[in-house]
Amino acid sequence: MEYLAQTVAWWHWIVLGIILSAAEILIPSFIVLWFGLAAIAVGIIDLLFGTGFTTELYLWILLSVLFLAIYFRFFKKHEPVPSVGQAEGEYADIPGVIVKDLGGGRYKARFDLPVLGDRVWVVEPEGESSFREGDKIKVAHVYGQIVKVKGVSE
Amino acid sequence: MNPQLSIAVVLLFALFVFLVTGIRIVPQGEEWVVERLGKFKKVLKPGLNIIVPFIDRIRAKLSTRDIILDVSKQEVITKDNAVIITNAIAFIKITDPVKALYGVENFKLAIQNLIMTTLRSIIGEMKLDEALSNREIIKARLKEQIIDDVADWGITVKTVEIQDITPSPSMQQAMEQQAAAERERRAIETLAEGNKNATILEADGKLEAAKREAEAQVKLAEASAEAIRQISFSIEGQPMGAGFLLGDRYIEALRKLSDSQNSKFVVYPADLQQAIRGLFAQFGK
Repeated sequence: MEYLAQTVAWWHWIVLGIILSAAEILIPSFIVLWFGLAAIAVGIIDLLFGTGFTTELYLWILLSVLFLAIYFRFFKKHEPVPSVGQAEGEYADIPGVIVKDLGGGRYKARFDLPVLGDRVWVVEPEGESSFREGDKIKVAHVYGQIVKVKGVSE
Repeated sequence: MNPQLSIAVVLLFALFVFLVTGIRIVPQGEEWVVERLGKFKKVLKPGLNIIVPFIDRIRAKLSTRDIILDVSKQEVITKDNAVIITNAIAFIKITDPVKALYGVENFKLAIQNLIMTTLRSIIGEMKLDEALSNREIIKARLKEQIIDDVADWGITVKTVEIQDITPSPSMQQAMEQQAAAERERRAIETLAEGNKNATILEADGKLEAAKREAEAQVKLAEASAEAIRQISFSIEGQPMGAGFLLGDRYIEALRKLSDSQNSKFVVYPADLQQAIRGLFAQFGK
């Protein structure tokens, strides 16, 4: 460790940063990149201010956690999650029309596009509302064999 | 070693441990259910996720793609007491991973059994012929009947395809015998119908022939009458002419008699000339 403290120069950090950033290509986790950027930042700080190795190590940990936190806090949330093959599939907002009142708050509806492989499903209104035959609706979510729908105002 | 440096190294090590145990990459088409200290916490969606190491635990990794379920063969008794063997294939999808995990012990087994029993009840209300020819109706009714059963399991049964509906071996044998008897009955009917038609046609033919024969005889008689009338007209006042004609016909008739193969014994009048003369004398009066 003492040896490292004496020999590590500013450019070592820069090289480590580039290697870590490049490793992102091999490990597509989007984690190593932030360690790499933190290492490059530490190298620049060392070049500018001539800091000691221990301080640089602290800085590296701090900056890595900071970058990771920023990424998870602000950017990760806004990443769109593709819905293909997921529980909440691509059926949200698919329009349809009520074709039959089954009674008991249930209706039979036909959708413009297949919902879970079928155009005709038994539907229930999502809230307290009720429908009449011919009313336009759209999918809210799927609840077992029942598709919960909401009305579409003309 | 410098104490500060040691602390930094320990922190670095802790960070790595945190990252290794806390970072979870969920593949597309799966959703992972996380429990914190034994209680449901959240569902991890595809991509990079962070969980709290040592406190959070991945309880289940559920596939959210369509699941193919084989509904094994079973014997079903129809409304008309026929035994048929049927099996199906179901395509299901987890639409709520939390309910699929906590709502039922084993959702695949539950759905398989539910489909089997529902299928049995639907076919049990149908006659054999209906069951054999109404697969689409069976599918639709099956989906309608399980609406409330699967609601709390977070599972959607997308479709159920009836693979086979086959009568049981004994039933198949009986059906084959029935079909053979039916074919035999039709064959006998067809044959009888043919015979009947043939007899009718033959009788019609005979009737027609008799009619024609009668017509021919009438025509012949008319022709003879006409001939005699014409002869009578032409020989009016000439007895010899008529005698010649009669004699000619008489001889011709005798010749025909002698030509016959089986009638060689011909009785001529004792005095042929006198007989002819007698005939002529009659005409001459």
